[in-house]
Amino acid sequence: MLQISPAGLVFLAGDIDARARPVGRAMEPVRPLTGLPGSAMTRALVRLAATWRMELDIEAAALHSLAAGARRLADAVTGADADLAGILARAGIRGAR
Amino acid sequence: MSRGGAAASWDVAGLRAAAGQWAAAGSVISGEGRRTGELADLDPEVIGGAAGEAFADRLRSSAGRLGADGMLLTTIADVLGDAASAMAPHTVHAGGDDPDLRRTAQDRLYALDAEYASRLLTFAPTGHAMATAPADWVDVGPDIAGLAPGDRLGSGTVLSAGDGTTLVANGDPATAEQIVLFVPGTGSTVLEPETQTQRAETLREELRARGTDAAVVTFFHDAPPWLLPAGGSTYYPPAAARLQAAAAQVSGLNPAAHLTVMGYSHGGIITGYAAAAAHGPGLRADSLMLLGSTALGPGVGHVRDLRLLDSSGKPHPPAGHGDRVLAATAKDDPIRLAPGLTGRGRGPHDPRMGARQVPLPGWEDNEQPRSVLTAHSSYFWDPVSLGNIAGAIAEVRRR
Repeated sequence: MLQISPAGLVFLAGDIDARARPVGRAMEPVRPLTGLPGSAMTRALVRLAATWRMELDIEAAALHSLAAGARRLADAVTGADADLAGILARAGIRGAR
Repeated sequence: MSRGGAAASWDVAGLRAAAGQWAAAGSVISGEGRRTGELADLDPEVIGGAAGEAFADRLRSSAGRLGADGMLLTTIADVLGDAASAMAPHTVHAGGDDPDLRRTAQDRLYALDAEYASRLLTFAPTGHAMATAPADWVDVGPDIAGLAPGDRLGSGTVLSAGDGTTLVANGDPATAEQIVLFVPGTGSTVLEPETQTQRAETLREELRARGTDAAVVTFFHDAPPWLLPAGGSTYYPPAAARLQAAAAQVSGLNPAAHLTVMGYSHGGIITGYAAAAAHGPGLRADSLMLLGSTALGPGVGHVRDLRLLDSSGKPHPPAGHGDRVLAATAKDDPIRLAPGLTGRGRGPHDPRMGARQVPLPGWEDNEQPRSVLTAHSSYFWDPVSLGNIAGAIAEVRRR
């Protein structure tokens, strides 16, 4: 039977959240170019910044979701999440406390 | 572009500052990608052996995307730096006193501006954002920074965002007795959530008026931006895979609730393909509502060809699908022609499909014939249609 360490999972979740925060904020300092008003490059940069901001938001959300998954696994092996604990037990996995 | 008054505005220092900002963002993303990859290689006991394999794979996948994103951001910074270097010599004369030299320098600067703008636009992200961005882009996209569960979006509330899918709830799926997972059609995008979430809210109110405590969850996904790509096979297979995951996720919030997956227009083929027994494990759904839907995709000639799963993962008996699969197609909706035009199987309005037909009014019931677009969207605004649809959804739960 495989073992999962709940404490390890909680640490892992924290690490993943720590990765997600800078990803979501990486584009915040990037502002549209103001030195070339009306130029094609200014318009291009505004478009790029908006789309990249969205891309990185989505990546950050995916990482937060993974962190939440790790915490749920931790809850499962400590018995706090009975539904998932049952699934793990049927898969031959138990928590190492 | 107007050139009036721009002569003094060529600001090479501003370009270099912008390059620095993009380079910094690239450095952050590359670094976080590297560190995320390292997490995937932790002791298997920590992340749970077999249980952690998929988890580690997802971490590696995120790390890979972040690594690629970081490289693209750094490349954008390099292009900005190159533009600054190329422009700098010309700015000396662009603001000078000699009219000939000034004109020549200005022309060169505008040519460089156009050239580098064109190069910059080739470095759009290749991942999720482009999958949900409008085809023609907008000059300033809506600011969805920090989109997270609980945020308001349109008239709904974000349940989850990521992996190319955003789920937005009208009502509380955790407590509702019935959940409708709404799969919108062509042109729908999370960047313009108002229309779809308002449709969701209207349906929820109609259900409540019929005594059903429902939540309607809109499945924003990578929908085809317009009609022509909607007729191809690029969009619906990947969306179907994401719909399977979304249905399971929503059901997990409230396994006791009856789950109706409602596909509208192109959302119908996504729903059909996700549920087709020939293509995979099936779709978590207690019932389907197909509104103005195209064909249900290859391999589905009858509702018995669908595999609908209950909350425990067991398939509902196909013999009962005739009562479980509802179809609402207005008599004057041109979508009725789509199956023949696209060759993607039968439409749910086809009697041979065996779906339960919801009666709807057509143009002969109105004083004036309706335009094709009006007919195709009538499910959400025509009170008789909406009432019949909501009534059928409420009734299928009680059967």
